[in-house]
Amino acid sequence: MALVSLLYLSSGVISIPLSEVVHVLGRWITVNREMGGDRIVAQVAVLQIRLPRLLAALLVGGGLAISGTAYQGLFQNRLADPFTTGVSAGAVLGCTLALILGFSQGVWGLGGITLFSFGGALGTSFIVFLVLGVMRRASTATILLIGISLNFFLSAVVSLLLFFNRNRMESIVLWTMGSVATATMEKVLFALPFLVLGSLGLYFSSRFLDYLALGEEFARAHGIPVTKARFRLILFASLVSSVCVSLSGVVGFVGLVTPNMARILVGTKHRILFLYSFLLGMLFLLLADLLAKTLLVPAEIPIGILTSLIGVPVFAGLIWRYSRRIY
Amino acid sequence: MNDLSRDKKRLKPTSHERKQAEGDIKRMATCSFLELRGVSFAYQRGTNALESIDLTLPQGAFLSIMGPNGAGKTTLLKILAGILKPDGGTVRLLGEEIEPSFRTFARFAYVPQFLLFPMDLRVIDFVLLARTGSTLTGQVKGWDVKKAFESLERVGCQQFWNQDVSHLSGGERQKVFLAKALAQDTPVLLIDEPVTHLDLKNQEEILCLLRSLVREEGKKIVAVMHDLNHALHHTDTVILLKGGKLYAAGQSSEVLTPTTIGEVFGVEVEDRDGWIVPRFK
Repeated sequence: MALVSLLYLSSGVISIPLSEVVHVLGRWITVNREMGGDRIVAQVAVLQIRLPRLLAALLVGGGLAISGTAYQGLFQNRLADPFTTGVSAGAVLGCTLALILGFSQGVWGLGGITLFSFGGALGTSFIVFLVLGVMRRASTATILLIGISLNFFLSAVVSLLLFFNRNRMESIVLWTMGSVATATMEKVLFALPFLVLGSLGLYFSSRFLDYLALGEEFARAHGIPVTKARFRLILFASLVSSVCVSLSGVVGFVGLVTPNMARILVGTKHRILFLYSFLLGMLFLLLADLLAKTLLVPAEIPIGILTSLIGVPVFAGLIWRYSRRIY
Repeated sequence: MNDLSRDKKRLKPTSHERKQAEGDIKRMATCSFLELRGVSFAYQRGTNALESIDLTLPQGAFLSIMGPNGAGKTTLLKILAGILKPDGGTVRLLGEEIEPSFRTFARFAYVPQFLLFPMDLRVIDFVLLARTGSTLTGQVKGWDVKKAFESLERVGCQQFWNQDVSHLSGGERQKVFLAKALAQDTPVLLIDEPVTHLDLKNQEEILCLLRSLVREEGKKIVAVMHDLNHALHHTDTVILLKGGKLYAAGQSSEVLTPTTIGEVFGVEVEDRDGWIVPRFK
């Protein structure tokens, strides 16, 4: 992964030799930031453009992967992904509102779009919580249905808004394709604490998932407080996916494919599964973004397109593998 | 994945665990086996699955809950396991009031009739779930792994430890379920239909295993059963339910007579040398 990261930092519109990248990074780490004029281009490219983008790709990849793992365990369904509870639709709605209402200026160096989409995603999770709070004995299938319906509802609202504001359509559609190209250090630093909090929360709830994956009754029979555990898991998973969406837009498939790959590699123990899917997710998105910015230099392909393009064959392979086994 | 080889710590039960086990045995000797006071439960408003059941069974080691389909057998077992909370009344099993909590899990092991397994769940990982309920992230210690292998050996399934649970046959799966319950190391096992859907050989093996657990290891077993002869010959106490109400309870040989069976199940049966056989017209 370190190697891919270095490669990532060196490639782009301006190609910078690896040695130069290492040099710049070394200087940056040792807080000796004064460099000669000939190196200023490399310094700017590596530190101000590529490093935030790299970090964003890593965080988003890892974050989406672990929240995907959590949702799949929670819903006992390997097709669940971070957006199952309508988080992405909420984020898109937030982004749409920001663009239509003209809040492109933000605070703390963050764009209005980032803040609005984060708010939208969190708001959606909050609605799911309210419903969960009202229906305390709801089964996982019910929660899944609520999430999917909410997804459709919010998408319909977005479509309606777009219908009346056609001039903004392009930027919104572009945002829904997902990209980490616009990442800045401020955005990454804003996302980091939420991501760390959510990830730790998920990691320390991993035992709940081991039992919930075998059904509610099984979990109850093993003394797992099912309602509380589910609440906690959805809270942390939504937090993580909300942050990811606000950082990069809707990046599909990472949250779906990487947990499944990890499951094949390390089995069903969620404590280990979380670690592996986090790493795999980081690697997956890093590679996807590397391809996104190098395939059609100087143009860039939105990363959401590439993840799906890579993700679908991998996923087809998975389905093929499992179709030969009897369950 | 490397949990098995990596954890070499703690290969013995702690003194706390030993004391707890001793306490369990003492309490089991002094308290009555099962006490139900006005227990009722409804899945939906208006239709009671169980209607104010009052019952005291002072003694017993292998109890079977019997009755026609829909009589509330599984519901009662789930209440005992702390999975369902009764709408009213109290339940005491071995003197301990049942409530859905972690304590219940530590004292009563529940064996479901059927589980939908996730893919790629290994037998040993499944059995280890019996040991990790109280840990923070589900990590296991050497002692837990030892216990899990011991219980697999007890049911004769140690050779399957690395296999996918969903690839096992019905009989093997039932044994693995039992192994998981044994690994929980509880004085009481609550089993939902242990031999339904199994062939004759597996039925015999599992019933013998259950009986030896009662006789040799002093475990108490509560099982939902369908086969009258199994209940008559293998269990010592019976609860007979009909339409959510208690019909009879007591010694198997006293309760399971052709008359009561005829009244509860609506089938004419006769006793042929100690075996209950339907009377064919």
